[in-house]
Amino acid sequence: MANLFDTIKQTINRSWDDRICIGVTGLSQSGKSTFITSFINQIQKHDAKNARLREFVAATNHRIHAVKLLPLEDRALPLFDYTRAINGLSGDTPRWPDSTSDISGVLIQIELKDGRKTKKVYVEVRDYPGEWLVDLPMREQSFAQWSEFIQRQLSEEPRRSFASNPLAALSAVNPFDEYNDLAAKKLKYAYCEFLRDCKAHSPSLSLLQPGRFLQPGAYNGHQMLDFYPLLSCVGFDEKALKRAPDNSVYKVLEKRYSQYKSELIETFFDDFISPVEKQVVLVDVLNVLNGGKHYVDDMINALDMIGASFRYKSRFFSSNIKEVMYIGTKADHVLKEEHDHIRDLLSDIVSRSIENIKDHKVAFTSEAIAAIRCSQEVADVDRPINVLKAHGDDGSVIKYEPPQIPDHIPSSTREWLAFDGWRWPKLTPPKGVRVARDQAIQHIHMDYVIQKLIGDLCK
Amino acid sequence: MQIDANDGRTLRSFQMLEVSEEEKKEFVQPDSIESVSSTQDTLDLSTFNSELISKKAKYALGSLAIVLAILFLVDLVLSIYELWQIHWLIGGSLLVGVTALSFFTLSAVREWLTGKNGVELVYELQEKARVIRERDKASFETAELFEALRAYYTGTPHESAFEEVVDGFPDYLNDKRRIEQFEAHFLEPLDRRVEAIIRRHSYQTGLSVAASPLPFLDVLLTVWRSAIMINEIAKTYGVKPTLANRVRVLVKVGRTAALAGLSQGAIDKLIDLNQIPFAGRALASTLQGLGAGVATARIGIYCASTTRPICSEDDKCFGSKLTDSIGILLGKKIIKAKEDDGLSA
Repeated sequence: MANLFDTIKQTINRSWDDRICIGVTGLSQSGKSTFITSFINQIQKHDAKNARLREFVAATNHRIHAVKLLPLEDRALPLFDYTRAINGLSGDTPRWPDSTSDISGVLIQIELKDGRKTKKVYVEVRDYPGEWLVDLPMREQSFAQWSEFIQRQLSEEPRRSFASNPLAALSAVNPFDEYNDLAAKKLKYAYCEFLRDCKAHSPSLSLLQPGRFLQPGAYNGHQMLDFYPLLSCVGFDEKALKRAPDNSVYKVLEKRYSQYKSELIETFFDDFISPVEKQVVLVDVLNVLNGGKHYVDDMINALDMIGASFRYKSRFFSSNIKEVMYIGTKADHVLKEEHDHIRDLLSDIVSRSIENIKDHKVAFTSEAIAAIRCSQEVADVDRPINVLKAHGDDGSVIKYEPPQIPDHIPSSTREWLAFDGWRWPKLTPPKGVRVARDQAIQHIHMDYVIQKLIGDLCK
Repeated sequence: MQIDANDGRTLRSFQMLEVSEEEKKEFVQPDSIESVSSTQDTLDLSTFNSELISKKAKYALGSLAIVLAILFLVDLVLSIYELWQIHWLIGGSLLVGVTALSFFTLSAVREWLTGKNGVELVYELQEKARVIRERDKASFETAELFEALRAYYTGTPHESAFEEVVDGFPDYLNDKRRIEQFEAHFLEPLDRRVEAIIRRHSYQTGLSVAASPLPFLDVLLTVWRSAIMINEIAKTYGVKPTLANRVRVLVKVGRTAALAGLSQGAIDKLIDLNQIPFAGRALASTLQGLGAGVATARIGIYCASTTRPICSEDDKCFGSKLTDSIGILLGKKIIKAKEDDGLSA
């Protein structure tokens, strides 16, 4: 009843107010929480002395009168913890905001000067783990089809080389055997461990299904998640599988898989994604370059599947998304002359995804940004080039020469070799962010993104 | 330093570098950055130096006139000759003195004729910006363009606004984005002023022509209002309002307008309207007024194209169609904000 009341209230507010709903997602470690923290901070501190919002017209025209953060009307949706994130950044040892592990949201109320009057506009930001988005294609797949897809994944590089690859153990299960809960849990655990390894690997893989095995959110430990891909289905006729006894491994896992699809995937998209009008997809293209061709291909497939969600339709709902903004993050890890190359590379990576949904009247843009800028470009001591200075993982000052970034997906071995044998240094947030001193966080091109997302609303 | 043959970037490969003791000092994000306001309502063009002839040229011309008068009086040539006869040094000195004075005077006149902040310089700036815009790859070489613009705006009422906008560019902006921000924060407010100028003069001309009983007066009214409008537009964009510059802008605008067939078209239109047999006098006058208003708006747009230091499109600053002129009279912007889709870049 409370949910219904929230939904009605939200629907009325949406039609009544000047309001926009922005969905923020991205692949693992792409910086979703950091992006939202900076997004809120830039708008809130639009008049700070160190604010840099030249592209955001409402700020340069001094039209913003006041900014307030409110919870969303939907009580089931936790409030994005901006205070915690900003406090972490402004401490003596600054730390990055906690990564997104569940859905959350925030309503930004912006009071604009409108002649002698003021008017209020609302920006609704919805944050959700990108892992959940890659589950979407599972809707169209039967359990047997999905198992076959995972079987192919596990047999090919780069997953084949992972020590924890459970291909052999999962292939040994006979689908017609009687279901044993303990054995099933062991196999599910082994599969989860493998997924976690794939995610923890540097660079991490992107297309990891089911997403809730990595980010269960509120469903941690739920029986609905107790299934695993039954690789031995491959080779069996689906009709034969359907004739399996009700207590067989196949029937039990198939039932849970169907439940996962209907109760988690469908419900999540119908409830959470349906109001989204502008979608931000964050991508860490730099990190994946290190992994080589297989990792880039994996990311392309994942983004392709995420793209599919923008043309998503169900019985009750069709996607409301009108604009998708692909954002290449961590632009501060390279020299300024490479920013356009990050953007072009990202455009190349998402080109297939865009091609697939071109007819769905969705507009696309791409940009390279650093939501929180944590490096400085300085002249090298010995050579006539610029290098980057930043705080490394342990907080000490480091200096490095970043490589060139290609403006397209590398095609030759020579091009890939440039990213072999080294890793991007982990940088810590800049020191000197002080909430009490009314400061804005330094960034790269966040003003452009803000203008693109809410410029029309703040006209 | 090696240069990559593919795209001109300096070839680099990843490497961690030694950090000296001095460099180990932690850096913090800045407390304040010069903020920028896109409104230029405070720009006071009344302070823009409106002298027709520069002081230097004025003094030089005056001196020359006096010297010439004196020399004419004493019959210069004869005197030199006579003095030379007495002693070559005396005659020679006079000759050298007169030659030097003539040289300085001529150079001062030349400087006045070529002028500063004239339309030729605007054209050079437009060309520089166009070359940067046409580059396929991101570049960071706008220093020369902005230095030229700085020199252009030094000593004008625009100077402080210019410095505020340019000094506040974030260091990571590439050339295209710099130009876009310069347009957004510096030139667009000027565009809005120019639009208002064009509208005001077009309405005034239209009303005056509609009310005027004599056809020859219409042409005079249009020319008079247009001349004032051209001067105001040029001043708004920073063209120094010297006599020479005014003449140059008028010639340039007149030439462009003539090339587009505007003048003839406008005159033909007025004549044709007069000859419509069934149109009443009041209706004909109204239509004449409308025609004159549109023609003035068109001249204004040509003038803005000629004097805006950076064009937002490849070849021309503003649309030159008849509909653009009507559009501006109806309150449309002459430059619309550009939508840049990263994916098409």
